[in-house]
Amino acid sequence: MKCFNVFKALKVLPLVGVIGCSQVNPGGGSGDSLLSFDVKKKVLDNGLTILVVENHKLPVFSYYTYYKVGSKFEDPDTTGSSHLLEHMMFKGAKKYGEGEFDKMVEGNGGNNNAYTTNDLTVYYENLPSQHFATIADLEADRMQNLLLADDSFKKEVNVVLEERKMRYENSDRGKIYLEMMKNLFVGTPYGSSVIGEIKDLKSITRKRVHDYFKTYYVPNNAVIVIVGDLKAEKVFEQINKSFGAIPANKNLDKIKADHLAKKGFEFQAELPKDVRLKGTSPLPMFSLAYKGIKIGPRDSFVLDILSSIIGGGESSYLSKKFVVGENPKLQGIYAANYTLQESGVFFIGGAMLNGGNRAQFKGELIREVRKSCRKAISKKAVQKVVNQYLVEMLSGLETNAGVARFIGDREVYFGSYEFYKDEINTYRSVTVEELESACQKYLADADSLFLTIWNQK
Amino acid sequence: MKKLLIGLLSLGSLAHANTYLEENVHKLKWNGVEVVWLEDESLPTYNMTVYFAEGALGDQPEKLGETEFMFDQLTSGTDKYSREQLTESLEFNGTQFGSRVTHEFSTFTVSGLMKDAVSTMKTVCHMFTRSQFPAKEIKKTQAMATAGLKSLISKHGDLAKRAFRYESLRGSGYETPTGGTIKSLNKITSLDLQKRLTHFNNDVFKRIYIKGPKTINELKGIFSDQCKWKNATYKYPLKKVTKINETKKIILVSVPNANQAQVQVGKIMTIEEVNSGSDEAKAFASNYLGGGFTSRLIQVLRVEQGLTYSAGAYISEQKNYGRSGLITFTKNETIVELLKSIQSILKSSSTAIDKGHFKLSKNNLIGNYLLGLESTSDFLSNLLIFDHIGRSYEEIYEFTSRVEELKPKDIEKVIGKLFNWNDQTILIVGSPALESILVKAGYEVEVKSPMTYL
Repeated sequence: MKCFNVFKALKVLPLVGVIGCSQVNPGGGSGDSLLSFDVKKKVLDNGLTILVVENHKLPVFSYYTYYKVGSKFEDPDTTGSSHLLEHMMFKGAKKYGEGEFDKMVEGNGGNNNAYTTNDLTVYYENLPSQHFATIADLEADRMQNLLLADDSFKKEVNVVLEERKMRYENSDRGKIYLEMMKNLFVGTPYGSSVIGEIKDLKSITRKRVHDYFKTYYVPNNAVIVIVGDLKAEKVFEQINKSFGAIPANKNLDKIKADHLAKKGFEFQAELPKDVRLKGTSPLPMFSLAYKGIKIGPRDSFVLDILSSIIGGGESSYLSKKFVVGENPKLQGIYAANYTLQESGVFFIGGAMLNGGNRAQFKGELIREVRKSCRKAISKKAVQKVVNQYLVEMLSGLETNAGVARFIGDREVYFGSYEFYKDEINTYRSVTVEELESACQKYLADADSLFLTIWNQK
Repeated sequence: MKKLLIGLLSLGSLAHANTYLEENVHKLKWNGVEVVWLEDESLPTYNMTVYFAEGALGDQPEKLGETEFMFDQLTSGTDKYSREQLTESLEFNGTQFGSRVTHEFSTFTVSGLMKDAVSTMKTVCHMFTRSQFPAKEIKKTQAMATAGLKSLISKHGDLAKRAFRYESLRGSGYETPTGGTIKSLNKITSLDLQKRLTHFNNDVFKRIYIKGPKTINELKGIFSDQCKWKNATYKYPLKKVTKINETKKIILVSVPNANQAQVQVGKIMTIEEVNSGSDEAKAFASNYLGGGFTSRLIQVLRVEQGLTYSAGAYISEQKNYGRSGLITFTKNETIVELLKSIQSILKSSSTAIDKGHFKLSKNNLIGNYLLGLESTSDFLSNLLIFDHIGRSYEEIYEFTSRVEELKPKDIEKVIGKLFNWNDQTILIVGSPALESILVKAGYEVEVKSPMTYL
């Protein structure tokens, strides 16, 4: 008999005092990892990586497949290929034909979806445990034998065009984000939209998408993460049976390296720059963007903390200055450090309370960002952010899907699922001096891109 | 848990469910206040929700939105601490907090690390007992709320949701969103909020729902000593909806520069409709129509016809009224095709449900029920709703066996009753150009300004 309360794979070590100066239980921290997952890892001969975490709390499991390909691998005239391919992955393969994938998943009591980013494409399914072998078979079928049928291909382009309208053309928030990425990453693959340019989507051919699929949807470009009521050994056995014979793309590393080298990710944007967009919002929305850095280096963690200190929550520096202070100018404000695999952007966004003078506001905002390097950063502020990150991290681990994402993200972005062991301690080790220095370097001394969108020019 | 689920799946045994309830869901009384504690040792975190048996229906008629405003402004300042000090104190520990006000009831939720629970609850109780709602803070918030509502003009999906509530619930007493309107919000004063809070503290029935480990019991004294919540018994006398709004026109909320039509189709459910038919059949019906990628709406509108990116259906019930409906969107040129397709889907789903689709939807509903139990926080929310509508927790555990018993005719009946095309309110937010397209296709259209709904 298994107990409801025990998530055996997830051992949470005692927290009291580990996260510093709790007002209730102050005490010294051990510096040990806060979490410990019992992850079993295997890499098949064809390069397919499998991570398994057993969790016998409920007879269900989550199955995540990370393909290490996103819009950065597209060419300028085929933008949106990765995302369109993501849609087409649900449109049938050789063994399980058109419409069968969703029927098999939902008809067996599950749910599924997928998402595409600049760097990755991720597919996931959540089901009762007895259907694990079926899901492995479905995923293997579409990895090697995707149909890409003409008729459904054409229909799906229309669906994607509607999705694009929903996310961008009909959303001021979406439009300003898209323009920020285009302007800041101009001349690099991150300057294209993940969902694709309308002209490219209308002209994209099945053959181009098929070639793209054959190049990147291969076992040595994928990581499978499975969490749930399954035995790891049985999982490895089944995955080997379903995927073991699928050949690797032996040229993959070279193709990817050549593509990325050819495209280049050095910033080419000439800043400072102002962009005024015509939208439908009766009050101006804005985005102030700075050149950031890629995920991984220590500064990327420093900038994460900095973004939360200056723009995370009501008690953050910029919120106090512009939203909850004496003379509020904004409806809300946030800051984000968006780190991608090859580059990054640090941006501040929000919406104004009235039309106001955008140029004047921009000057005021930039001045406050500069001031924040001296006035916002303290040991207490760092500690607050680390506490917030820990709560967010733990609250995401209630479900198998949450654990699968947690493990998978770290394996793919940091090269090892075990990265979580150092993660919180890395954040904890960030010093006030490091934050001040990064704030100066990446924000105060840097030029910026300022975008506004409004229903008036 | 596994023991219970295997029991339900293979045997349908209620005994296992009762064992689970006895073992993990504990009913306590803290100083006369009912407490439902879901014991969960898996993470060093807690989640606490206080249920109040009054919602937005208790607002003063000219000050609609005051209950939501009151809960939202609990951090605006007390006689001792400023807004800045309160938010700093809560955010320092990573505490997440917020309120939810429905027409019938309200909740305040706090979650965070177990080690911080006591200090956080002391702060929460301080806010509940000593909030002053300083006038200058209220004025600032009113300006922000006004700006937020005006911005809805550019958020077409949100605008459609709000406008549809007004149109489909008109005359029921439930039509105004719980957050109020620009006009009503700006009439609310600090004194109104203080009175409202005093009423909620002293008079309104409360029940506390907590998920967390055994140490959660350390909070017991805080609620009685600091919040001073005792066994208040007042429950707002809820209004029963007995009549439905009927309109044969399509309401077009005209917004400039929209290149997509946001479509809402649905109706209010009367108390009779809420009380008739099984909840499982209603859940099945909404899942069948728009609950996933294999649902009828997605299969026809997206997969077969490529008319939209998303489409969904819902049947949601509170204690004395409910709502059923569909939400989707399409490009301007295909609006008529979309409406005709929806009408056709609803007709066929109320007369001739395909057995294969039926079986698939049944399996999907049962499996997703299982998956829904993964999050104990969500599970706790379900217990709260069950208490509010007066149902036994045991019904949760009987869900799968009750779904198993359903036949296609049961679902056709629900869809026929709740999704009869002639009873539906249809609202579209989109370009002014849609009017002529719809009129040309034979629809009667009434054009309204988005400002009508703000």
